[in-house]
Amino acid sequence: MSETTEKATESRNPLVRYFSEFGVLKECGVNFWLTNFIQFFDGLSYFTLIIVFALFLKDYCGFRDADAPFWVGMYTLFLSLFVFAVGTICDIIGLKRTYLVGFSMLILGRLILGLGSDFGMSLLDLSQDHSRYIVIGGIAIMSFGSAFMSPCISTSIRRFTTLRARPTGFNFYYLFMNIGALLAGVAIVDPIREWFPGPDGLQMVVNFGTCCEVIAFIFTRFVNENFYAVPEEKIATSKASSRRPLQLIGEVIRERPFQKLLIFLVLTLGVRLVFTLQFMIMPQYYTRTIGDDFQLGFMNSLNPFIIITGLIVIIPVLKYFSTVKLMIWGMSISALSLILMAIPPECYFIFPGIDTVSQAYFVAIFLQIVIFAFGELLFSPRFTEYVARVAPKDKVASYMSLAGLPMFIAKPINGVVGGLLVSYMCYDGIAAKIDTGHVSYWNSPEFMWTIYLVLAVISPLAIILTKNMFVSDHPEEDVPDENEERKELATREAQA
Amino acid sequence: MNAADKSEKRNIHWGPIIQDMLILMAVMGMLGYLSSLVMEAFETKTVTDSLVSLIRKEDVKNGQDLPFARELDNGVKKHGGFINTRDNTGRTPLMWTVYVNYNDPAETRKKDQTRLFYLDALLSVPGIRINERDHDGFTALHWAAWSGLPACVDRLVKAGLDVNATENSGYTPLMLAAMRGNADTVQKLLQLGAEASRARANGDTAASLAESHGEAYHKRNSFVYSLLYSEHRDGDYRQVRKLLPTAKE
Repeated sequence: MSETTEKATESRNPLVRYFSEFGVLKECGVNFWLTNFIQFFDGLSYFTLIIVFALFLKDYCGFRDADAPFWVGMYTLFLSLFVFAVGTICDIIGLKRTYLVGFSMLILGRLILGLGSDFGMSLLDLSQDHSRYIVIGGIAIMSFGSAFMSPCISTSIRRFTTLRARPTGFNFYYLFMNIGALLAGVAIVDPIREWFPGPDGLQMVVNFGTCCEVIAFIFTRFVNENFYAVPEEKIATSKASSRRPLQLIGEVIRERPFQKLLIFLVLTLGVRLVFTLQFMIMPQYYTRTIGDDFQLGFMNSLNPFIIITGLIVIIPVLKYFSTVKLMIWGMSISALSLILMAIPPECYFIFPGIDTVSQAYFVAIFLQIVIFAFGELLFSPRFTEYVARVAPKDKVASYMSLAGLPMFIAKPINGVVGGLLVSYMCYDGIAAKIDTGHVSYWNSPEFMWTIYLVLAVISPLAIILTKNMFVSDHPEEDVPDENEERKELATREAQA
Repeated sequence: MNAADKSEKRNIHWGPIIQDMLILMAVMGMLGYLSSLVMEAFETKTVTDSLVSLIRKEDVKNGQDLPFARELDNGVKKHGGFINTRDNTGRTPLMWTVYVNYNDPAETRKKDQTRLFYLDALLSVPGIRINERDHDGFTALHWAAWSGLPACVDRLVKAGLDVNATENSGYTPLMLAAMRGNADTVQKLLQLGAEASRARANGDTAASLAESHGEAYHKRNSFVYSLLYSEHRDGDYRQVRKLLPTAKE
């Protein structure tokens, strides 16, 4: 390590300290950087879509109020299901071929999603109702293609980094992904919607994402899949057995630590479902209470902005706290942030400068996003870490991939509930009815958030009540050495 | 790739992997299907959903919107009273046509012109009942006034809607337009005979509503968070207040 790097590592300035570690990435070759570009454009495409997805389905493709969040929920469900199913495929068929299959499906699915509705109505003379089936087909194909990306990119990062640079490689990947999410909102979605207001702008955003996927695909053609930064890993990879998803379930379902983990996962479902509301329900809530020209992208960029800031400033400090405690704090903060949207907007009139309902809604939304993101920052990394910690050393990967099981069941249910709540309590035009005093608390968006608040609060409460069950046999709770912890996390991530 | 690698790949047993994937997909498909069945029991669907969606999509090309025209034509032929069908909030396609929700007046003005195309198409359908009210007593004119669509307001009043109709809370279209700072619409409504002196039971008039809301926007601009969000509507409200006589006058 050079003298300058050493000085930077010891620096008290968290910004300098954080970025100094990236110096080690110099030893990673061009393939590592190509992978980051691939994931950046793929991420940009994903994040731009997810911000406008529900609105696009509703306003452009003619999905009903209840249907749009349902299909967004189904998309996320298909996505996690296919990740689960194709997780090991790139070790089997090779990186480049997996990229080829994944991107081909992703681009095809995206094209069908973006153009399917118009194609069905204009060229096939279908009614809008029937052309929705084309769009649904696009969603299914797209989710299958997307599912290849995450395992494939993780494999690439692992393959193209040396052991020394690997933890930093994954940190950089996570940072770069969040920068993509940040840009997706403020630099892409908002300007496009400003240039093309209304449903056309939403379609433009979707098609922009398709172009990003094409760029990412072009980058994949330059990746050298036979390059291994650690040559010994080539042998290990070629010997890796292909595990069947159901075989995995069969192997671990009778194990006590896994059963305990399942209980834990079910208990945290409430708050984790709220995480998905950000793109299932909130876009409709924002535009219907404040206006169609609401800066959707800006609000959605707050979350990655806080995550990036947190990565640099807060995460290094958090290593001194216990995992379960941090999870409880994170869950509680995220869950309680919904109070801000559950209270009547008139409550905000006590603050100077807030005198109309739309002003109150804006402040409520802004504060909720900021506080929620802070809670997420505490919860999410610790949650992944917890799942990895409870697993027996030789089964970390299995436990990590099966951790998504309860969410599989919860996602479509969440889609149905979310869709119905929106159609009854946050319907298009509700702003006019709020202005004229026709909306009582019981049929207002605030009541919708109260329902979600109750659901979300159950999680931290349940974990607090059963805390002993989850911490009693974890000697790992002792604070580990920072470097050791980083190495361990990188290994877990690689295994997962 | 050497021979060993190739033989390793040939030894992969795809059958069980594909079988597992299909089982998982079948289970998830069933779960999704069951969820959608549950949703259908609670969801409100109306035959005009697609028509409304096409209106809101505003895909007018060369003076026509073929999918919309086809949907309207088919709907009228298939369902009696199609054009007057109400959704779960009591709104008819006519009311949806004259509803937009933009803070930017320039954008609203653009919408006003496009929506006129659809409004004319609906008004020409035989049997359309223009005076329908939704669950809260809003007529299409209330929606147009709240949205700030002066050309649509003009067309609706000329088609026979009452310019001074009150909804269930006592708001007239003029009050709604004034409350939202829709200056062009206020002007149009006054030209069409809207009475500025009308008051709600609590004494609110169009002028007082414009004043209180305009004041709120003005006051907010002096606070720091207006840097994050401000529609800059001061000018619109000032214009509305100029158009409306105050109680003293």
